[in-house]
Amino acid sequence: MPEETKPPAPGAAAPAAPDTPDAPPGTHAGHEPADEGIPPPPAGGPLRVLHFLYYVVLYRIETGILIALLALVVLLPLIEIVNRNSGLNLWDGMLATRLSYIFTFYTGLFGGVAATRQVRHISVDLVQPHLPPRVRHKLSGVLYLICVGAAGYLTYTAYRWVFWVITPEDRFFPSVDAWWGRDRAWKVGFIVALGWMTLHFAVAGVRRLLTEPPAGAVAPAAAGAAAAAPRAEGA
Amino acid sequence: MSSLLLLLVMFIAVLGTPLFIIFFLVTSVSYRFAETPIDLTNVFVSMGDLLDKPLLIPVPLFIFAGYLLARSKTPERMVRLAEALLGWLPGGLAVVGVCTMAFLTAFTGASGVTIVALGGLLYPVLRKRNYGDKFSIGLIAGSGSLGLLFFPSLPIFLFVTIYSLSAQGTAPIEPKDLFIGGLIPGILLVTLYSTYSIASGVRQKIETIPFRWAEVAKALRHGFGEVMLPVVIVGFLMSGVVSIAEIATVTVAYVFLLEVVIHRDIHPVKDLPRIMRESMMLVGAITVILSIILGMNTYLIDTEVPQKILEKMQVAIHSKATFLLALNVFLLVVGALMDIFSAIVAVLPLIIPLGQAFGVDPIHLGIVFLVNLEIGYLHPPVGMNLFIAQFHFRRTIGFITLSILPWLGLMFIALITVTWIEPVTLWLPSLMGRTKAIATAAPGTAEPETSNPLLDAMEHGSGAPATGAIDDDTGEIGPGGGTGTAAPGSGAPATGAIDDDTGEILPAGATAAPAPGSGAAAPPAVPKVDDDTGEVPASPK
Repeated sequence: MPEETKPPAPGAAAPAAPDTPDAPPGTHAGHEPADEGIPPPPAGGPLRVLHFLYYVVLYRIETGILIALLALVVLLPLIEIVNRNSGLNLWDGMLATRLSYIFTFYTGLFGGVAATRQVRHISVDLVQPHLPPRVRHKLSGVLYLICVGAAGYLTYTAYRWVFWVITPEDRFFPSVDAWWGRDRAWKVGFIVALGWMTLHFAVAGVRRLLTEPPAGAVAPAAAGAAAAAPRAEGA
Repeated sequence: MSSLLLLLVMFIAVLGTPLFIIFFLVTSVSYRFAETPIDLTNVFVSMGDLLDKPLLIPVPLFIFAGYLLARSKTPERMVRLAEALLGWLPGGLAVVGVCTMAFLTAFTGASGVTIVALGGLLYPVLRKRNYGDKFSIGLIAGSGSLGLLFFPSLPIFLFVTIYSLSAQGTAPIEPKDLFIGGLIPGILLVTLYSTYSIASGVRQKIETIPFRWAEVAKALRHGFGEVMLPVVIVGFLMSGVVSIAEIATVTVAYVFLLEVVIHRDIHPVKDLPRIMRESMMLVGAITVILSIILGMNTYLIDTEVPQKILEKMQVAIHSKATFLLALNVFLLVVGALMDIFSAIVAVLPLIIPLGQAFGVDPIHLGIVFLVNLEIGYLHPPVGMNLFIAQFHFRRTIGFITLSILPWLGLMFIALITVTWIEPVTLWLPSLMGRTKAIATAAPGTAEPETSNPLLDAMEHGSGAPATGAIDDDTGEIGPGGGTGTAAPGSGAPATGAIDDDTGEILPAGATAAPAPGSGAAAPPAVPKVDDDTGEVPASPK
């Protein structure tokens, strides 16, 4: 099994991106190498803190949420199967089922957040594989900045929906009086996830515009036998 | 103005902007420049509905199970077992490759994982046994989407989901119908590939491996867990202990037990979190597109876009045969440009009303649709498997394209067979007792009662009893009533169950929905599924 990728501790040498063999150029958004890895932290100052927050703290929170959600999506129905067939009636099966639907959707949404961080969204592969590496690198930077605008607007629309359209009285679980029975409580995650994606698009866009493509990168469509595009941009 | 903006959006789409952003921009422009501008928060109304529906349940679970299998030593065990069983055949190892690729692709959903997971394993073995370089690479690249039609292929679940969300006034189809319908076409593809492999083995004078029971027993002992996987899934389904929506959970639990606890191929701390995150990125990529596209679908339905396309198509296309031909050409182009998941969510809603209007059975439509997209994976210039193979085997794209040509030819033979010989897809489902879904409403004429009316009917998943169906033998309409169909443009009523005047669902044997293009509106005719029981109430009297 390939080694697990962990974000570096502040000050540590940044590792290369994980070799994720299922995302070569030309698959998802892999015109650029799917995951450029973690850049070296700046020498000091507030940028270093931001680097740590983004590449270490946020990454771990993101992965933690994703793993917790997937675990719930697997476990809730599993326990419900046992509960139903054993006749124990340990909990409200209908509530558990509805919760599993919610967690499934949010697993997808936060999977989208992870896909945005590692630039793995599905897109059309018509032009980029044929471009020279530098043009491809900069073009993707511009496109991600366009995505920042669109995703930002999407986030704002989600905010309007949750706080303007949905009223505090609307209930997701009519039988539950507590705060978590409210509609808003289950839909505020839309704003969080979409805002998070916007942030990832911004980082990916700015980073590409400020940096050069990884050394040795070639246009995938023109690549020869020994010239398949590199997977990762090292430190 | 809106046309200019849409052109701009198309331009950045071609440049490689993520599709979900593109769909959002298209939706925004459409909403803003609609005759009566629509508030964009409506996109979230459709999205919010997904929070309360089981539609997405199989997506993360089957993808996760597929990743667990691909990242464990399952490919090695499967190759060893298949080689022990088939190595004695001339070209047996190639047949092993074909079968193993098909097995694994069914679980990975042809996301490219199969080529990478098995390619590294199969290629050296094939070369060692003196198979040609071009043949070996062609086989691996060409088989990378082979298992798409087999259970529990995710594209089929997604197809059924999108079909059920988009098909207005028709009975929802069930995943099992599509899986049964895809069985013969899937076997046909594997047989064609295997036959070609055997012929190549003979031509290349490849040495065979003597059949040894001891090796079979040994390989079977190692790969027993994987071999039992389909048996376990079917067993649980047949026992009634779990529903279709829950079978994905059982699959994950079984695969987890096998690979993490029994074989210990995957370390629960070192490997599992990475695999979970990696697999969920694919889920995320699908989910965000699906969520946005729901809002766009609502707009398309509201503005009767499918009906307008149909009207234009009917000028040039008059028969089902011509429609199927045009569909094949169109989907081959789509398959070469788009990933299978985005093609299903983006293109299928436009195809469904056309298929209904030309009287194409949803199962037939589904299998033709998926076989086309299977080919799209291999189709130059931008088939995804070409790039994956190019990257993985470090060959030029020209070399990869040449190497897959024979396999592409076999796919085309299968496509022609599946498209033009309907019983290839429909015979088995009818043999298994599937009732023929005849429900058809005039596309685009239905007035949606909510943003996505069929979401309500899907409350209890695709496993809900099919409604509005006519029994092939008795001619009776099944529980819940149904809608009728008429030949496109005929205007003649057919058998069905919608009252032309009131739009209400009638008891068995009642009247029909108007034919497409007849001008009369057919109201949505989807019987409601009971929220609590998941059952469809008896026909209204």
